[in-house]
Amino acid sequence: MINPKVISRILANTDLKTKMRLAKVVPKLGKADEVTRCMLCPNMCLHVCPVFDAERRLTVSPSVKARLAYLGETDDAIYHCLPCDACKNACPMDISVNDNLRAFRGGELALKAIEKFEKSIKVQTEEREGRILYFPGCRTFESDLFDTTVEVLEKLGVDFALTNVDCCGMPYYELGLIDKFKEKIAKLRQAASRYEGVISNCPHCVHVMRENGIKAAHILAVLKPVKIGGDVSYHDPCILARKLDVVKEPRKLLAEMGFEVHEPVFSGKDTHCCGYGGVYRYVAPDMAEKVAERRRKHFDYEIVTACPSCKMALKGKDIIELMADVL
Amino acid sequence: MIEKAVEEIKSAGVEISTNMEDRIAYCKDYNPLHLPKLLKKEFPALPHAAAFPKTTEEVSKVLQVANAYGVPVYVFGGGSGVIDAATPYEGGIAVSTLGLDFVEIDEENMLVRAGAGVVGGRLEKILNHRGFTLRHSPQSLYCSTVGGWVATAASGQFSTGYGNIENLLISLTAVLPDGEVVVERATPRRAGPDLKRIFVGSEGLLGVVTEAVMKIFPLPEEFLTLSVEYEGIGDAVRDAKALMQLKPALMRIFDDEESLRYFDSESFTLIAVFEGKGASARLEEAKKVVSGEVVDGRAEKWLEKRFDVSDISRIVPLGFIFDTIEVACFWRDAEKVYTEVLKAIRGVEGTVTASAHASHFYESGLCFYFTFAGLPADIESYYEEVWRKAVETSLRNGGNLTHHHGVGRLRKRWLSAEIGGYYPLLRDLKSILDRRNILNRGVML
Repeated sequence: MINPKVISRILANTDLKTKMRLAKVVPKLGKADEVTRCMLCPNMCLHVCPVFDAERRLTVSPSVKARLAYLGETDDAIYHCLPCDACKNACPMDISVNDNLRAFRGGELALKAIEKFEKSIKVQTEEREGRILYFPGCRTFESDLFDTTVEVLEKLGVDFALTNVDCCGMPYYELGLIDKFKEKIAKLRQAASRYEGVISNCPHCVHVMRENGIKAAHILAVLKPVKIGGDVSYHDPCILARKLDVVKEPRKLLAEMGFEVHEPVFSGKDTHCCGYGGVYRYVAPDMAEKVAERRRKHFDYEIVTACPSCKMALKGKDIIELMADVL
Repeated sequence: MIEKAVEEIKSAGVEISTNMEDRIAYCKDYNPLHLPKLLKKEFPALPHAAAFPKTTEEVSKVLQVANAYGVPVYVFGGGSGVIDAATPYEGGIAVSTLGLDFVEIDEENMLVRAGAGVVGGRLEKILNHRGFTLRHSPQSLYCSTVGGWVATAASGQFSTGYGNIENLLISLTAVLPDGEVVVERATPRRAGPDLKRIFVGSEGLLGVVTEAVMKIFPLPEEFLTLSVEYEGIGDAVRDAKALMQLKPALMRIFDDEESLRYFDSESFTLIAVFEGKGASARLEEAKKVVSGEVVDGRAEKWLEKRFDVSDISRIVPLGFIFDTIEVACFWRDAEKVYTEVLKAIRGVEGTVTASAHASHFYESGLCFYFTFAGLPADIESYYEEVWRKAVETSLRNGGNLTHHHGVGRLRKRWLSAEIGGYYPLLRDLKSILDRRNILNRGVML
């Protein structure tokens, strides 16, 4: 909204021809699409972009990726992105570079990456009945958190069900393979409809479910403190902090468990992605490792987190594991 | 030639790419005239290759090879410069310094050693976490680099209290156009020639800065603000001069047009920040010194918005051209420079808005930062006319050519008039250090 006093000054100081040009363009003010607006920015989120920080090329910097998309150069750099939304968190226009680039993906690189992903996932086979559905997500298996989580949930008396659905569809979504994504999320939606709600260790899964009309919560919501104590650093998983707005809860839980929680550089909503978010691991595995390696250096104490991907990338412990040690 | 040079650089183990996406990434700096071209899907320029050295030695290798083949080299940090310095008009190799990205903090001596490619916002965040600050805060902090700051003689929002980049610099390492590495021992100060200064503001003409050692400061315990409003620029400038005795860390004067945009007020506004030990006493004294009316909250409003440049993205797609022109002047010329330059910009047909703020202050004077937006029939001729009229008016009324954005290609026609006898000296230095004229060809000279 432009201040009316500014408008009257402009009208008072502008020549007639320019006034006529203004009359034509003013109705279009603010209507340029996000890719265009992002491309025209000098890269004011460069300092928080984890992909740029690892790769050290302007080519994969946020505003240059928007430039490449705008110009139709969509073979490679537009896939070098994490769904962390560090850019959006820093952007006065509230633009998520990753959200905008998704529409330009779906090419050859997407097909190669999804093949790698599909080869890597372990499928859950166990089934059980309960009030709420526990949907671990593929990365909970990959990070060996599944059995531990089941054990902790049982000991805490959570009435949970398990069912045989392997994927929330996030990797397909991120790679622009939308038909396949719709198929995956529809299967999960159908399974979830039989329960009061869904819990998951994986912030990605929770976010995708919520965005697609499934009542879902991160597993932190059902955990109860057990006394342990000590010094830890908490890493905020980017999706959990920025997209699910869960920042205070893990700190409160850790404090109630007797931990002194030390903040690393980049924490809370200003957290830094671990590198294993989204599908970057299947697009540029060496660079994903580099993001993780750099993030690990931000911590002075044992890294504790609440996401299976972050746990793997940072070689830290999930809060669930801390609990399992004493329950 | 270029193909051979690329092959040789590659076989020396330095990452270099001829991939179209990398070339597009290095096709321009942030001069506003490039943006309408991009909107039309045109490239302002295109390098033949982009090199990504990771060490000073790798930068040296790139320059050795380029020098041997006479291939033009354009030096890139974050590409946020606005004076058309890095744009690779003759193709050649765009050398990125971003791979030089180490940070070493020396808390005992209050220093930081940083690679040229370290991005300012990240460096500041890392320092803050350890209880320190560089207090070098250009508006481009989030997208500019340490090497870029040195090469452009950058200035930040806290320069009034902490100095510009040259005042923060302890030592630097640079690579000459023939690949020779120059480095000096870091020390708090030394007599004798301070030759590192030839790289400060050299805009990549004389060498590539690869690392810098800079001063750091403890994060101030106290951070207090002052906001004052005035009826005209004259009283605000006089108060700013008086306030310099109280050592503000930051001070700015916004004219009526900018006050309207930031604070919804049609008066002129002075804001100041006092920080560190004794800040409260200095703030109280400042309130007694100023002749304007002390008001609430304007400094905080500006501090919150100080890195927001999103208006560019909103108006450029509509056909607007937007730019800023910063000039320094002594106190005695301040009112004249402010009034006359604004009048000159507003007099160009197509100008929609023109305004100014004073952004950096010294014992002897200040910097005015003019902002204009135009919706002309022809962007390039309008832009040329605004720049010509603004700069010539500044020079005629006691203002200078540039305070901190630099010369590049945009202002080079006035450089000789600005620096007089030092201009041929600069040309001599260029021809001695860069005999084949490979580095940032067309910039400044």
